[in-house]
Amino acid sequence: MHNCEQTKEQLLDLVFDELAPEVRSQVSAELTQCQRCLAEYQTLTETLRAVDQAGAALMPAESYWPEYEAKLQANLAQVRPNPVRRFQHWLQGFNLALWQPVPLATAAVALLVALGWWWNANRKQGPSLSARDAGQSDIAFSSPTPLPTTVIPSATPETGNASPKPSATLQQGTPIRRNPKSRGAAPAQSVASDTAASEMMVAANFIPAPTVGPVFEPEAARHFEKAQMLLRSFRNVRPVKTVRGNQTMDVSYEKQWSRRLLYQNILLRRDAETKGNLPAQEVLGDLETVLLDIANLPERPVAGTVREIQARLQRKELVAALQVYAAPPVLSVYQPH
Amino acid sequence: MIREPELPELIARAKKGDHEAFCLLTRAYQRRIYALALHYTRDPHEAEDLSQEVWLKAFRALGGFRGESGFYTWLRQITINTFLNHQRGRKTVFNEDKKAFRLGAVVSLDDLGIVVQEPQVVAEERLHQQLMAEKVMQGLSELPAQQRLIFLLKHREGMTYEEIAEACGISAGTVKKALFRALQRLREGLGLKLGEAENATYATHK
Repeated sequence: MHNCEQTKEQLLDLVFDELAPEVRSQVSAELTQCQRCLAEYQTLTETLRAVDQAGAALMPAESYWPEYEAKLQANLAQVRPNPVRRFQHWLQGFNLALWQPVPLATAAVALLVALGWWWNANRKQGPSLSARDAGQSDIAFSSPTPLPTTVIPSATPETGNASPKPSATLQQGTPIRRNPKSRGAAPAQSVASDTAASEMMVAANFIPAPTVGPVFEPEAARHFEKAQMLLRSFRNVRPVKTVRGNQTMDVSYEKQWSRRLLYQNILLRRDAETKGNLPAQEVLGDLETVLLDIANLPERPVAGTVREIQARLQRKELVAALQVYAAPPVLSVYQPH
Repeated sequence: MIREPELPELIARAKKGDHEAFCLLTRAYQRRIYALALHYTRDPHEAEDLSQEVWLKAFRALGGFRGESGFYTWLRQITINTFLNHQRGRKTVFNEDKKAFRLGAVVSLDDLGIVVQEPQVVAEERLHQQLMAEKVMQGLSELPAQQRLIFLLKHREGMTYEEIAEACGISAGTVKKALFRALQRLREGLGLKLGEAENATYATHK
């Protein structure tokens, strides 16, 4: 039984071809049965046809399009692609799938980790080159301008002990004069196990470098630098006035700095002990004693007390050692006589 | 028309900033986009500006085209967004000046004494088409902008209710309702009411 209202509801879908084939044929059959519904349908289709014809009538002639394209090209010339997109295109040249952020982020993290590991490994190893290694190195022997050798005394001057101590290390490239007292001891300890190499080096008029100790942490190096400045300042303290016939010295600045550095020194020494870093442990131990002495000085110490500490500093050559440890490592180990 | 194998190559070149490749892409679709803009704006100058804006936006956004959909589908979405932004940016009240301009353009042929070198019947037919086109445009202009856009997407682009709903961010039911109202208004504007279909000279005019 035909229902006009029901058919009219489906006319829109019929006009816009949104009906399933079986429904479409059913509605079409309904239209043949009802003139009114058919007329309704026709008015809708005629309206759409009118819209199509109007559009066609208003479309510009073919001669319009070259001008349109020229205008578009002129507009395009003023537009640059999005910089982010340009960067992405550049990266896509490396076949990176930017639309897959997770793999990319993973790769980036892996790269960072690898770089960090490599940097850390390099930092720990440092440019150390033992005498044996250096003896086998073409660079060491053929270097046209060998840098000055720096030697930390391997034996304490008081005892004259020439046994290899952890502090008997070489920091290359630091322009510090060699200590004449340690000239003989340093090569002996580092190349004792390799007599042939030692002989070769002597024949070549080169001084083999002692084995370089572990490179200190940057934090420790900075600490050594500060301590070195403090000790230099302390070494240069002069009497300021006489009280009751005694010369006193103004070491308030040095006292203040010693207290500051002492805490850091203790932490670094403990760290060195934990890591088994004997050279650091030794130099920090020596430094700690001096820092304690300076920090515990009275406000106006008599000259004798200060000179006693100054003499100890000189004996231990602590300032020179600190200068070496604070200096950045440079790859150079041989020095001609 | 661009052949199917050429399209990816042109897109790849255009992505790298090749203007020539991009212009070849536009050549394939510029009439379609322009016609859509013309029906939407009812003004040739505005249609030109709007369609050019579509192309410039497409050029800027081309790097983001991943080929997951067809190029024209992607371009059409940019067109819809541009139209919707255009709609938000201005009042959609029909401009009487535009109407006068278009009608004047038609009538002024006689006013200016331009001799049309064609038979009288053909000239009359053209004039009739122009007048009816104005009538259609008048009818379109009286539709709300969103309703007009929905109607154009359905009628000219052949999109389904669901596709239009997704593109415009509305429900399919709203799309269907808008289409029904748009068609009713256009029909009334053209004088094609029920019972007058047989006399609709323009609609049946060949």
